[in-house]
Amino acid sequence: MNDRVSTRQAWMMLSISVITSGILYFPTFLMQSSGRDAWLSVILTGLITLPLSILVVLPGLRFPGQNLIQYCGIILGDIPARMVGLVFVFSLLVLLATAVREFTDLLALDILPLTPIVVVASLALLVAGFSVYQGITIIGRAAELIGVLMFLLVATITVFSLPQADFSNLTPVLEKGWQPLLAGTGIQLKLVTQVALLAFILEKLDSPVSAFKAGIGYAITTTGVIFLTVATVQIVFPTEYGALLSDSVLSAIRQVAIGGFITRIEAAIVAIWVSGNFVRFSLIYYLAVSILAQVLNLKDHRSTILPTGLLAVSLSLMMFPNIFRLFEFTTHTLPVYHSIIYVVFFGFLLAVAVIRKKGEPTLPLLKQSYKQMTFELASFVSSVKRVYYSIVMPQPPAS
Amino acid sequence: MFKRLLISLLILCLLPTAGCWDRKEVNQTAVAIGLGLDSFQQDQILYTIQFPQTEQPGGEGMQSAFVTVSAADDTYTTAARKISLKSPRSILFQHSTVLVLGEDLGRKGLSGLVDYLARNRNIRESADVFMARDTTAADVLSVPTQVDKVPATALASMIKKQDRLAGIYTRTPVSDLTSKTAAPGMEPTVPGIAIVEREKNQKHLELSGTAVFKRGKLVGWLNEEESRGYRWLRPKMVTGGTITISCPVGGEPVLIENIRAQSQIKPEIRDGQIIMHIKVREEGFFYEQRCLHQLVTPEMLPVLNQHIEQVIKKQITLAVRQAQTLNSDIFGFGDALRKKYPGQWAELAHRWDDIFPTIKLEIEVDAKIRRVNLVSQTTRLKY
Repeated sequence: MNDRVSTRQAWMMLSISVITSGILYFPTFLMQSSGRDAWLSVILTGLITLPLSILVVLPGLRFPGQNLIQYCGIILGDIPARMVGLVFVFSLLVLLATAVREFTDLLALDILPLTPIVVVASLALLVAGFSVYQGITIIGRAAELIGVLMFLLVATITVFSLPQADFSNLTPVLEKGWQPLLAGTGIQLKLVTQVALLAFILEKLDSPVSAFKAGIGYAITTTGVIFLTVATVQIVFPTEYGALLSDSVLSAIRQVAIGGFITRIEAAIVAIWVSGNFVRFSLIYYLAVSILAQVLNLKDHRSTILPTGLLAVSLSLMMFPNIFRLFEFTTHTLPVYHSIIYVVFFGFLLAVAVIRKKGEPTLPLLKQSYKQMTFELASFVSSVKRVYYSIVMPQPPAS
Repeated sequence: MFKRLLISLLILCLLPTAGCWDRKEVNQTAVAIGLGLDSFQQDQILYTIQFPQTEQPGGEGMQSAFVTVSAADDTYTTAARKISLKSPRSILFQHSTVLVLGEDLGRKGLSGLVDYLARNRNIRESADVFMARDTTAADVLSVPTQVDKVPATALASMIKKQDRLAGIYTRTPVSDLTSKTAAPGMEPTVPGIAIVEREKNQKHLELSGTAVFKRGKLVGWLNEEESRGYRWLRPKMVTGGTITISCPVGGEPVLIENIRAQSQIKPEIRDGQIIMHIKVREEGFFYEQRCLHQLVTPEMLPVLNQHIEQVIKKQITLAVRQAQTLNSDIFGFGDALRKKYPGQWAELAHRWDDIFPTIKLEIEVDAKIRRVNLVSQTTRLKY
């Protein structure tokens, strides 16, 4: 069975799925709500993401080797756990439908205006469904591959936009006080709360440390990447104009003209974005399917792939009559909905587990992971130092 | 069994990848290289598209290197699509590098146009915008330049080349026009293009003046000297271009080539009076002199530097004065003020039309001649 994932795979899958959903439409919403402080709002949100990424895995770590429904069952009782599981399946289905609709609408907006979106949506989910059939390891490996391209993509956008940059567009800071900043953070909750997906794949990870590492890595990468894209759009366009555009990142990329021959690179960008979306669909799809299998006590998740996919495609077509309702849903409804069922629920689960003294205490685990991570960080820094000294000096310094 | 099913499924997947609803065959398309927009009759739009003419192999000489097709209608889009009544091929707009606006259209206002430019996915944000001066865009697009036969490609490279060589006008991509119209405390400018007639039937194109906009309407022009002043004040580094000063001894023209210049605008509110501190750092090469005085000596360089500073100061002052006369904040003074004094800007923004003409300038130019090119002393004829 392909159901184990490594730390790096988990980190890449989560990061890609959040970055693809945050990279093209997102800066526009952020600039509409926080104005020129959009970049600052991303950093503020990053500070919230970090503790959240630890909170969501804590309940699961009390029950090593058990999946979501099993440990919910121990904490809350069997029937409530299954009902909670159904809520999660439904939320993932809605998330998948929203993701598919975001994907198809952007393609329809910019590249395929006449193609019926049902074709794009079904083809996308057909490919994703095939990788779900193969298991999560396959999705993880694809994520490792596409992740590199994804980071290259963002680096390219930023570097190539520097000739057009006007850094004074990032000021004035806090022009209208703290309120716009917090409004921007509110919108980003949609992205932030997806860290809970980590809790769903917890039992497939090697060790508790790797859960922490994946979570923290996720928080840092997504914050960094979204910060870079938002800041890039802001230095290329005045914020008031960027807030008018439907997909400000693509418009910013259209500006790129290096030396008269590196132009019109948006085709490459969209290609990488599409492959990122493949990972995103596959991950959400897989989680929906596997939790459904857990709830129904199925041995294998595969039998639920086809019905879930059909539901997702039809939901994605029926949920939103037009693009404004889609935007309203992703910026106003999803943040509240996800905060409640992902963050508040896991906090509640942790509190109940602690009070009812279920599972193993996680404090020693936290301490041990902290020690291990600081040790790994120190050894990484020292190896960097060693390489550096080996370059600048013939002999390493006597320590 | 499963494998065979899978393989046939994968082969089926290949079918939709071969093409889709939105394909365009190359031999069914015509590439638009230049677009022109004019106001037509009462409130119609005249849309002009320039297509290149490819040479027929074995044909006897070309009539013209390009054709222009125009159509008029109520909206930009319907006017553009009416061109399909006159041309059999579907038009590829993505490759047009030039957008020419007619002067009439500019005077009437660009309000609808800016939204059209920003919304339409077929118009490239990096295309250069020009304002037809005392003529229409349709006419501009039908006149070849002296060197290059196709006006659209010629215009696009002219505006970039002159920035390095002559250093007079500043290019305006579509994105600059749209974003400066949207952002508060900033007004766009567009370089002008005029048709010059030297002899009968000997027309050609020449860049001329900078069109100044105010609330999306063309309100006036900067002349050559003022355009140079505007160029010094642009936020990005200014490379290339020339500065003509007069010889400190005899008064003959002396040419300095600008290598790089960077300006900074710092606003200050002093007792209710808004003062813009403009600081320009300029580096140049000594390039040419019409007189025979020994100018390139360590003693003379500071004097020359002072002359350069004075010329740049004068150009900037002229540009700002003309902008204040037209009451259009083309330098982004309002934006600079907003970044430094976000609190006061909230009230000033309402009265900006009354305030902008009263702004005072304090200009500080730091010019340095770095090198003298191939001779270190002035070469003289012996006899």
